[in-house]
Amino acid sequence: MATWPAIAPPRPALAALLAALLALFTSLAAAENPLEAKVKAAYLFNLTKFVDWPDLPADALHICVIGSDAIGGLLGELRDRRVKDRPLRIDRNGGVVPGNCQVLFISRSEDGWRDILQGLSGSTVLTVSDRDSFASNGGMVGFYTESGKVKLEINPQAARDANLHISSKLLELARSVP
Amino acid sequence: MHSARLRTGFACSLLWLASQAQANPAASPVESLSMEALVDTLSLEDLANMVVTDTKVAQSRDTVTQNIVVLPGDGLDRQPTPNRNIAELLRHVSGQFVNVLSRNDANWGSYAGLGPKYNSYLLDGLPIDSFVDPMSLDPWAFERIEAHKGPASVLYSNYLTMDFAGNEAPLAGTTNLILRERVDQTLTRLQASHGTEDTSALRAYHQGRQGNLSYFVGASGERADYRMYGVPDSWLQTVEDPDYRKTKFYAKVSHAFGRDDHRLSLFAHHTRHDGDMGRPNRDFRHRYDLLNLVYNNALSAAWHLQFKAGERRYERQFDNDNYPASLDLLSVSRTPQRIRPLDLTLSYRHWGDALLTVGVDHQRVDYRTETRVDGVLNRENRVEGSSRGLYLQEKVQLGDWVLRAGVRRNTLRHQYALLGGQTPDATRAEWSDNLWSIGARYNLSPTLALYANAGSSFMAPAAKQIGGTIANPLTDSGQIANPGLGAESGTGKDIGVEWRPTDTLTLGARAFHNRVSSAIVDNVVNANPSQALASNAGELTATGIEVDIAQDAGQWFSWFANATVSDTETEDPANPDQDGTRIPFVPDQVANLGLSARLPGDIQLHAYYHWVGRYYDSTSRASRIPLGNHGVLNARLEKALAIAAPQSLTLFLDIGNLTDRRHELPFGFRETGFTAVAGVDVRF
Repeated sequence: MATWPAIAPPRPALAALLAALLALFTSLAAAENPLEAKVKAAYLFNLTKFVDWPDLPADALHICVIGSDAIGGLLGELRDRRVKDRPLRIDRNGGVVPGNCQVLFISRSEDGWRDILQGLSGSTVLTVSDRDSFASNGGMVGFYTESGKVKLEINPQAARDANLHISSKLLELARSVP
Repeated sequence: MHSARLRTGFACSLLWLASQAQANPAASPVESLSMEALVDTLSLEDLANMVVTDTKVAQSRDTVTQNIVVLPGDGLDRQPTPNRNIAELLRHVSGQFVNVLSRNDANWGSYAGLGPKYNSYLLDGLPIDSFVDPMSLDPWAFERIEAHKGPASVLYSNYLTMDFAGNEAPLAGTTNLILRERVDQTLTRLQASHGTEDTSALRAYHQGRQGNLSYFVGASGERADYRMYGVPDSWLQTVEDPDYRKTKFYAKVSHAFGRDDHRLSLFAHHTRHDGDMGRPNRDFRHRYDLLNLVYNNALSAAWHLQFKAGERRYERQFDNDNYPASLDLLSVSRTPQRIRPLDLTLSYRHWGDALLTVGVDHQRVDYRTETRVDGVLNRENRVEGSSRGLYLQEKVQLGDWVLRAGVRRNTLRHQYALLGGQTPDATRAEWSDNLWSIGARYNLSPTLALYANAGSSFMAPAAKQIGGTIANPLTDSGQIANPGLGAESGTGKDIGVEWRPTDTLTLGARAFHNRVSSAIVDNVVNANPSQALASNAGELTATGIEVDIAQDAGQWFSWFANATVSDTETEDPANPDQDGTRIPFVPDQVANLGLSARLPGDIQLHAYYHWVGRYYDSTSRASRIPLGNHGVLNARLEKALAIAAPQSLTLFLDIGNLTDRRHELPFGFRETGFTAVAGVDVRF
């Protein structure tokens, strides 16, 4: 009678190696890719060119970042730039007063994003996040990844409610969400 | 038989979704850029893809019912173009078959099973010549190229050209060349290259911005001692190496009136193309000039106004001998043509994301052919034509559905002062027709979508086809007159799926079915001299499927593949010689495979294999020539020597037809074989 060959039990060393590799890949997948952070930071800066605020402060235009040290750090390299004839200020984490921002980026790691949005009701802050379905859930601009590229989705109604005028050029580039 | 052919095509399918041509293994230099350099280098357009659609207003891709392939400008250099023709950049797009006959001649191919006149070319949405401009314009001026597939494009006008294949209608699709507009960073680019056939080229480009004024200017010069590009003993037989010189100048200025979506821009391009075809009295002198004026104004969040006006001046001049009887100068033929297109479009966004588009377009053409023999001028054809179009389209989004419907009223008029050297009995002709187009897209999920489109077209015969271009049928090459030619009408349908199973993998498939009644077919009726005759050939049907796959596996490797299988038929019971034959110039199979990889030594490789199945040059069983069943392998190697963005220095080697195939092409042309060009590209 023919017998099936026995399956050898996994060797402990090999299993440990596989587990380590799995843990490594998992942690890499969760971490923000440096290039991705760079592109998002560039988007945040470029967005300011395509949005009109009704009440820009005279002293500076503030881009605020909550939760992503990488993006905040990258934007910090642009702190001497001028945007809309004003110096650019980058506020990060503890220094952020959401109502004082013109652009507020909320990292996907921030669980309290809904509370932040609620607190901004009636303000003229452009809210941006890389959290899934951010623009469909009260935010204005969301980053999403498609074919390895970072793309935009925009909730035009949320922007209109905040009295922000988003250039049609930007709307043309982005995916609109209700 | 037909279904077996389709199954065979499926079985050997190598797929590609050409939008993935942007998958850029060479993107790593971005990582080395500082943030300061990055925000100066990349515009929003660079950070994402934008498409201009059938509604003539740029929209995101998931709200468009038709399949659109985008070739980003920064990726165009990766594809070798041995014949220096922009159409070669489109040859790897599924559904397209592009045959660039030589460096001195036009592309001649087919789209979705139909001949070359069923795909139009646009420059920023305004018609240009599908044959002249791809060998004239410089791709460095382009932000991107969009290939719009299927009958959704019939909202765009026909093109009233009288030369080459005659009028063009976008039933099978349209190719939109999009110029650079807003400049975010000053950039100068220089390139020098040298290669086989003593081909030397210099190119220069500069872009900049002064306040609200963006601009770019460019120039290039190329010369070569070419090699014979004809079948031996054909009308293209040479007695010495042909040579040519091509010089281009172009510039664009774009002024933003305080905001980026209120702009006026002007683009001008001039090409001089001189040389000889390898015989002492076969010189040519061609001059191509083009102007494009575009005014864009987003009047409000809802209203968007576009006005476009252009002028195209094409003048082709050839010296003719009487080969093979005599190499002495017989005549000098001249074909000047001037076309002025206008387009006014108003878009209204309403009900949330619904978009209503209304507009009018107009074209006026002045076409002449003349021949000088022994100093005596013989005027052969003098025709003025005009077209007028009025169009309206509504597109609505209902949840995951996108629905589109449009109508267009087309009117064409011809006035014939001379046809074939004679004043014709009928000096006027007019054709009018109502066209329609509908489409739908269903986004099943963010990664999976289905779409379908249908539309109609009509096309009047070109004056060249009615009046002919040759004075002496015994000696001259060109078009034989057919005064009895009638107009043709067509319908097209397509259905497809776009699927992105992972962030890096893209799959697509599209089936098409096109039908043309009273089809005007250009048949080669004589090889020496090369002569074609247009005739109404009953009904044409073209059915086919194209499948694509693309994978971007990161900065080290990306690849694509696609295949198109077409089944075409000419139905003409009154003419048994062509009844049941295939549509000319449509291969039964076309397949492409491409890859980009980073090799050791930080060398970038881009390789493209292009396979063409069997096709014929005529519907006549008695005289048609079987062509095709050949493949060509092109490749490019790049080595970046220094990158300190935005400065860079790159060496490159373009290899064309690596396996040195010299197969026959239509009209007596022949693939010239292996080419290699090495060069250096500097940006600062």
